[in-house]
Amino acid sequence: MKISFYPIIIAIILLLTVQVGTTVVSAEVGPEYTVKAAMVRNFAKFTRWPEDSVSKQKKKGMCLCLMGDESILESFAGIRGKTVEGRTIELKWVDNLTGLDDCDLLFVNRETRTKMSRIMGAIADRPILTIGETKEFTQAGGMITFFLRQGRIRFRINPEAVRRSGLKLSSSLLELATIVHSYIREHRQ
Amino acid sequence: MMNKHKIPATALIFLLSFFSRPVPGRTDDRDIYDLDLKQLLQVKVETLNKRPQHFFELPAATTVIDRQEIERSGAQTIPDLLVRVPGVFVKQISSRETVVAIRNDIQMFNTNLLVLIDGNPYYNQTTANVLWSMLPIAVEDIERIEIIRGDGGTTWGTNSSSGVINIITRTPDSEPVARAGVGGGLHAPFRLHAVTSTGFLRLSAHGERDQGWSDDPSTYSNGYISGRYDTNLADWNLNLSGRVFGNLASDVTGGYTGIVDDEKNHGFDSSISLNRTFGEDKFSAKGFIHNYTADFAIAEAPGIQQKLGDVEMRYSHLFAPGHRTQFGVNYRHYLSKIPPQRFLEQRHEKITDSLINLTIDHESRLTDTTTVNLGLRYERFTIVQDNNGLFSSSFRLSHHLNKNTLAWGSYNRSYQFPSYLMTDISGLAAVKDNTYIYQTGNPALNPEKNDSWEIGLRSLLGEGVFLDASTFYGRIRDEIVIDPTELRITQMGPTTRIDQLYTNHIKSTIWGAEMSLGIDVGKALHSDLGLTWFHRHSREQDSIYRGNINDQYAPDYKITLNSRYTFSDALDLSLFFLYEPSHDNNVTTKYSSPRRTDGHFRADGNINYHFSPQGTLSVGFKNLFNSGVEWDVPSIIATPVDVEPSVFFNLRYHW
Repeated sequence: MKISFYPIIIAIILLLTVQVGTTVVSAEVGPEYTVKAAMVRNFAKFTRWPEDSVSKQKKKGMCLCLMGDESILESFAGIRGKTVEGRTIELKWVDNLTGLDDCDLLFVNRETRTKMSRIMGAIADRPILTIGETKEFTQAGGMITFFLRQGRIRFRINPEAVRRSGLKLSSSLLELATIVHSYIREHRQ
Repeated sequence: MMNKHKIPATALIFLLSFFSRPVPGRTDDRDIYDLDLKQLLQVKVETLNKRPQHFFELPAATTVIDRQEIERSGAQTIPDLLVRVPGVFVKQISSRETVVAIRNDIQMFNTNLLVLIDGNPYYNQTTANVLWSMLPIAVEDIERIEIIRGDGGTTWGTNSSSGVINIITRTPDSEPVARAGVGGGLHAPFRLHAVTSTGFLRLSAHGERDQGWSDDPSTYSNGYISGRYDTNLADWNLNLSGRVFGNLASDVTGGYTGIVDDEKNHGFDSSISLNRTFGEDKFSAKGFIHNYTADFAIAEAPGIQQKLGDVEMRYSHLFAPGHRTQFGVNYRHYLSKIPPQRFLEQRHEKITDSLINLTIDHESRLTDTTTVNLGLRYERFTIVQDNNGLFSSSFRLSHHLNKNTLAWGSYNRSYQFPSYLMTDISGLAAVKDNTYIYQTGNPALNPEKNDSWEIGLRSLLGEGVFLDASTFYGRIRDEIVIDPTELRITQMGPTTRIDQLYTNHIKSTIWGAEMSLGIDVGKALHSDLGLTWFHRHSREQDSIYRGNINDQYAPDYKITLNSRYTFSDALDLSLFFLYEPSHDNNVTTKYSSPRRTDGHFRADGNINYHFSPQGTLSVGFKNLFNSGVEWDVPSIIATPVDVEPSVFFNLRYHW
């Protein structure tokens, strides 16, 4: 059975050409973790820490802890020294659970997926804004998780985890997020 | 056999010259950090499929095909994904089987390409090839494929001097989910796939049946069940996985034997891995067993068996920030049983061999912009008679010219070990005028010695423009190939038997370049243009005869264009074009002349329609414009078949 594919492919190419012609908006493109780092800085802008958790020394600096593959430290290097509400962002790579004491924010990359429960257990309800990039993260009690859709980064917020920690997130942030209900907790009960 | 290790001065000077380059200012550091959240949500990210951050830093020619690319491409086989990568040559033998080579001749029995699933070796010690259709994994179960072109160095293990293909499987979903897929089409396999995944466990079942192409009367069925379990045991991460698989190809005509027979393959594998961090240090251990039985059409007696046991431990120690050393030990044990066959003879019906690998890899960040990697490997493999141990070395250097540009260079020395086909087995390869020509293994073979030099550049040239380029030069000494000057002639009545021996008499040089240029056109279209240039030259070494021994069995160049267009959240399109010029694909000897493969175009395409958040309907085509013979080697395929275009659909749904 002979099938002539040429008319089909010509039609597809024509269709593609027409579509491309109508797309005139210039693309903003960035490396995945650079964009994520920039978004983490924005999350910090929309977050209010409890007064008692921001000590005098912390008022000058904001400690962003990074957990997972060592290479993420390099990826986030661009936000080192940037400021949020007058506080300068400092980076700290942590590879064990005892190094979390100074953290105001914690980014956990996907390589630590199987350790999520232990990490979240160690943080308990401390006022640390936790950000991850897997589904397991919010199920284990993480607050914000990134995901990709159509080549762009989106994020989900787990409001229960945020509430327990005492942090306050701006409604502007909540409007842009996909809200996660604590699915896994319901299932555990 | 001890070997001295000398990094040629020219290579050192060449690589160290990176140090002397001035580092340009960070002029194109457009401050993405000043964008607000709404703007950031519109930024298209360079994700893992094109240039992941981790791989951006690697001083090696690396391509990663990620889950998103796999789904958008509509590819139904792993080679259909690999064909898109510069430097990788993919030739279709039949509707189900393909040969794959990286930066080397396209050979069925290819000792220098290492294929791994989750880091576990699927290298076939009996034949040294990978039968891609029999690999017990479907594209639905793949998270990503990492392709390292060029020498795997000391990190990846034995027999990886031309490249490494590491297939990473999908992890269990955290939320309970069930997935099902069905697909089929014209000249395309009928496929069924089902997955259930909950918590830390993922179970997958796959089956497919291929009716073959018009010129190929054989049919093919393939199936497997696999499971993966990820959990924590105190401070340890534990991963368990296993597969049971089986394949049946009916009415296959075997090479020059002309025997029409069924081909069967069945077996199982399982692996366990443990990982733990100790402060800044990391420890990992894994074990892997792989067991299969295969009947090939060339054989009249069944039951080629291979068992593999593999144990590996690695410890990574951070001496100081930016200075990390990894120590590794790997032990591998092979057991092969090859019963007597009519057209396949072997010296031993049962062969056992062991391989031990000791590696040290050290990475030092010399400055904020420059990193050096040094590696040393000791390996001892009993398949070679003189097995006192061999030392391999690796030197890699990377240097950031600016924030968005990385230049890298490497030198690697490694050894390739022969397969049993090359040491122990004698197989009928050609019949011509009452003359039976056998390709015959040689137990006195030495490992072949590979030296390779590479330099490369990765750069974000501007908004949505990414360049990844590399060039390489390699020298192969004591190459293990069929030597047309080493003949053993036996007269048997009216027929003559000629044994062509595998020897180490050939030296080869390879050189070439690869480039990938990714361009975003608007927000919706992304295209990758891939260019490959490859050349190979072989001569007899240590001989008064200085003529060319064989030709190059791969195309001189390859051009690809891979485009992905997003119409909307619900509809996306992927188109792939390839052109390769004509080339030879057979060993040139007194009794065989090169078979010429015509140049050919190929176009694959796929449209995904996400009709609901749970469901996707795909319609695609493959091999458009492609209608000739892609690969023709008489000892492997009795009758070369024309490639046929196919159209197919795929329906996927999850609950």
